Amino acid sequence: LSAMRLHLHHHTEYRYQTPVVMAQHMAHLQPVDRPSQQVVSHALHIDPLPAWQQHRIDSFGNHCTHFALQSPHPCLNVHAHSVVDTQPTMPLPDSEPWEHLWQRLQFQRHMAPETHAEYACASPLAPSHPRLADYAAGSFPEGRPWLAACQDLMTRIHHDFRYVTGSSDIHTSVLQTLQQRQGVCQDFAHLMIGCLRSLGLPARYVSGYLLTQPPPGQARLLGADASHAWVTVPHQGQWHDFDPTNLRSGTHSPGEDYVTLALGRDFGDVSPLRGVIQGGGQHSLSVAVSVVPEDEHLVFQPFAVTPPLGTPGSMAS
Amino acid sequence: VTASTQTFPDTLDSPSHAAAWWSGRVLPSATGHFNELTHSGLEHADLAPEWSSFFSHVTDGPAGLDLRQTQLQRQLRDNGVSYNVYADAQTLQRPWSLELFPLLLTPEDWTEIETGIQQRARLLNHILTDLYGNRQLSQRGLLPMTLAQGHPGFMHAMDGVQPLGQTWLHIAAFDLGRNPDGHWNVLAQRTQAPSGLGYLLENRIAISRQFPQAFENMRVQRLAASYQSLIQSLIHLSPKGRDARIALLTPGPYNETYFEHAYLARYLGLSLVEGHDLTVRDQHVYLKTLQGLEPVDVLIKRLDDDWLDPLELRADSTLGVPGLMQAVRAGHVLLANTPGSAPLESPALLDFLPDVALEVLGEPLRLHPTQAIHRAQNHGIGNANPHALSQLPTWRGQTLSPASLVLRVFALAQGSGQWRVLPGGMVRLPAPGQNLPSMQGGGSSADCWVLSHGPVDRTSLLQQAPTTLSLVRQKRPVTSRAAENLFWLGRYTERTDNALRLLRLTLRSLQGEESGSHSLLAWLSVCNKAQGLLPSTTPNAQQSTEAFQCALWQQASAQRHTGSLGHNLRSLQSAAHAVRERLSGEQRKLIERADALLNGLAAPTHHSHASVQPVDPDTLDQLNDLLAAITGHQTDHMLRDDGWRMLSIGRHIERAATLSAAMAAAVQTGSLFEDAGFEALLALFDSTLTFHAHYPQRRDLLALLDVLLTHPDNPRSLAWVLSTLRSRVDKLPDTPGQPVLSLLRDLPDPRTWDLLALSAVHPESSAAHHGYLDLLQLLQSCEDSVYRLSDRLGHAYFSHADSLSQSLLS
Repeated sequence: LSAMRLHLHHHTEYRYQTPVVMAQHMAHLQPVDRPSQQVVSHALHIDPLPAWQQHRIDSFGNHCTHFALQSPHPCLNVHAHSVVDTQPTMPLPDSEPWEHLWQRLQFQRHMAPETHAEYACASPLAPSHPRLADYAAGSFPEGRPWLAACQDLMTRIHHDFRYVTGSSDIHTSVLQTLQQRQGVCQDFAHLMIGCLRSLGLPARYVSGYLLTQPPPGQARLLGADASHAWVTVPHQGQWHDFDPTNLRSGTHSPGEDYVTLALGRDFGDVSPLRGVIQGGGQHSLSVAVSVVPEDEHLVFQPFAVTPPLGTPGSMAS
Repeated sequence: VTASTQTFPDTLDSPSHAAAWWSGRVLPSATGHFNELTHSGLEHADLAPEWSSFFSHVTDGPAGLDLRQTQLQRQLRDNGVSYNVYADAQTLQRPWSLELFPLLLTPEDWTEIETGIQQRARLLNHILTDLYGNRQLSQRGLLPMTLAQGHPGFMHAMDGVQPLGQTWLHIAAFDLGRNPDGHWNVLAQRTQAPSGLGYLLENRIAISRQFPQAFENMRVQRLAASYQSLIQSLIHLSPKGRDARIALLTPGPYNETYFEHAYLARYLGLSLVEGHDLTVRDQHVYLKTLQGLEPVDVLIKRLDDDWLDPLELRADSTLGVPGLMQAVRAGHVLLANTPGSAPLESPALLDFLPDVALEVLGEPLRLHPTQAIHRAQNHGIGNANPHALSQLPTWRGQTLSPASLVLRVFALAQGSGQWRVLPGGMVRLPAPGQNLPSMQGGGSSADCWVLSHGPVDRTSLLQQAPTTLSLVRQKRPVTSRAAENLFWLGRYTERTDNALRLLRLTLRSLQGEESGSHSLLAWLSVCNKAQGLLPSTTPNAQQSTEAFQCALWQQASAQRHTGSLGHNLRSLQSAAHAVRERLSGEQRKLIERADALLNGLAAPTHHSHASVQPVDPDTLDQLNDLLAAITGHQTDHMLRDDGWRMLSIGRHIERAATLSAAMAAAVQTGSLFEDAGFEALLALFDSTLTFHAHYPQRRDLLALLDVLLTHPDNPRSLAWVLSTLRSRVDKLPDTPGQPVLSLLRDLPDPRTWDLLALSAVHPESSAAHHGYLDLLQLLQSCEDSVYRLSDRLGHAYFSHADSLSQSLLS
């Protein structure tokens, strides 16, 4: 295991039935710096050229780009190209019994709260619910270390739930996921966060990418990857990541093949591209994501993005 | 002892006798409640001095109060004061329920409330500054995370933002209850979009009118100065200063408190706007008007925070403005209140405020129940229920019956960290059988009189000193939405008028001597179906006059059938409702009355319901009078701005289309060539008098066409209608890429019409149109071209495309 330099291409295309008269968008497509990764470069190409564009750091420390299109356009292409250096992950450290953390999270008058206590509070897509608490309880017997309990919860979700592409959409609720026992990476992340919060424990949502390996003997296909999502929890001033989809975990990140794009309470805080358009009628959306190691990158044309093909070797999204 | 057990003397020598008489009629409050009438928590006590003073002005006894109550209800109904209970277009309004007696607050009561509310406002503003700033309150363990960043209403989009003038709260509402010991405490805090500032004004106007002497003599503090200072403070804090344009952002007519949005906007002289009236460009907010985009600098919002911006907040909100949060963060628009105050409305927060007040302000929290409990223990009345609300007398036909009250008061920002408390409030009383008052649950409201020792401030918004507002005559912008509604108001007014004229004419004809005329019946059938008064499947009048008449009766009152009289009137009413702030009270009243009249028509009578009831001709006559009054108002009582022009254009488009079609039908059915049909067409054009004055003894096509087609001074001739239409459209502002003249490009020009040619029979014609090919062609082109004009206007000014927005997420 060693440090990696990864190229990320995230291409979003909207095609409209009738031209869109006015559009305003908000993008979370520029990766953040984390202890596990340093962003070397980032470029955002928007076609047509926006009439107005502005960058800001949002409430969660993410890069957020606002842009507006004020003349009629039949389609919109947003292409983000980032180069990120990632570090190998470290194994999870020992931790205190989870009840100790829980105890410190309880409000005490005139006492400073536990750091990151706000992530123990419910959010729209990762709420608290007794049914989630019931499911989570199995991983949180008395005295079990906090990170070991998280590891166990991740493992149970990975085994109890089936990964089914297209089994859910961005409106699927955690309770639906819990009941149907299937979903995609985003559902599993929300489920795990909801479980932790239902016990009064903190967790964040990570939006990002995972480097996938092409099937043996085949060349890497550009655009064949997808956005990914997992979970991160605080412990002693550090964040520890858990990916219930791929059963991987580690301090700062689940692995050097992971790239974090943005962090928030849930998907709603970090959706890659949001927008409100006027006109447009029906629309079609295609998203193509590629994660490519530096040494392979030179052989690709960064903009010749093809639609997703086949199933990636490792599960993402 | 109730008032009914003893009759009120016919005349009372003096006011003090009146007060004494009333004081014997006080019902005690429920045990444990403070009685407002006696200003005491004791079961038996004398009438408090301020109530004594109030009743000394009620010298006409219970009968007088009954009369006032009746007057009050009528006044509220006539003013259209309402509270929408459900978001339903059909049965949307409940009349506002207002008690006769105001709550009387002594100067001492008011000092307690005023000081306490000013402290609250300062405190709450500080909490927001902290919550979105350095978060010391949660860091120091004064607020739990669930009431700070972890609260569902915490707005991450506002994190780190400093609002203009450091003022988060411009309008904050507080619901107060009076403890059994006579002190007040805060029960709830409303900061996102508090309601009541309009209703309480309306309450004040209505009640002071019922008790003019008491109001004048009791030194009741006036309200206008507070509203004025709110507006001045908003102007002062806004990025544009004195040139600021302020608008009131409403969720729209289906909101339960829409009445007061329109009422307030009118009273304060602000534009009433909905989310899709606004657009954000380069982080600035603009109003979409007929004249183009106009900047908006201040928005008083009546929308909860979540709905403000579908781009960053709830994506399913159709009420907000995409990009609004960017404009707020950039400081280009002042939003009153600043978004993000939802955590302050949490009931759980109230318990933490005493600690926060001590830490932040260094003073104990006022108006807080713990104080009450503390006091109660000190006075050895620890068993009193601290949550029992004080009780206000209500007039329930002969008795003064006590009802628990909650008082909503308002803190209004003055800038520079100061808040002014509006000296008055909205009192709410629970519906019978309910413990806590709620307007949604059908409770009632009451006025609140704050009495003063000193002189009262008689500032009126009407008398304000010359400022930029009054010296420079501001052209009120006509929003695209208002323009569209006014256009449809015009069209539906005309359509209703035409439908009613046709209906009356038809009923008269069916019963008259001419009912045997085959061609007249054919023409009436065509016209009634073309105008939608009858479904196309109805048998024609020639086949059975009885069945035809029955169908007419049936359809006259049916509101669901598109095109029916009822449907047109309903559409007229709903267009008027959407622009109510632009219509005079009289016009609104007339529209309400027309609607009530038609509802009466629809109501089943006590006769057998198996047979169809004849339509009462008197009702139709009354309706006709009302419509004449409505159109009169539209013609003579409205400011002739672009909005009015739209209304007038709507009316003339409808008139041109209806008249062309009716005349064409008269030619095609041949009714025009018989006496009865000739007269009927004149009647439908409302031109009987004009025609016979011009052409006594004549009854030929040439004369008819002169009056109905080309006459330059007959407001019902097509030439007049088209040239009026042309001149109205001509005055509209150009829109980008579309000079206004291009809208008129194929409107027929009456100056080119040749009467002789038009009245000539075409030699090669078939019998179906009696040979008047050129005439029919002209009429057809009139009808087609005005409908095309209607489409073009919609395209150019009403921006349908803009209003259809959708959210994308990937």
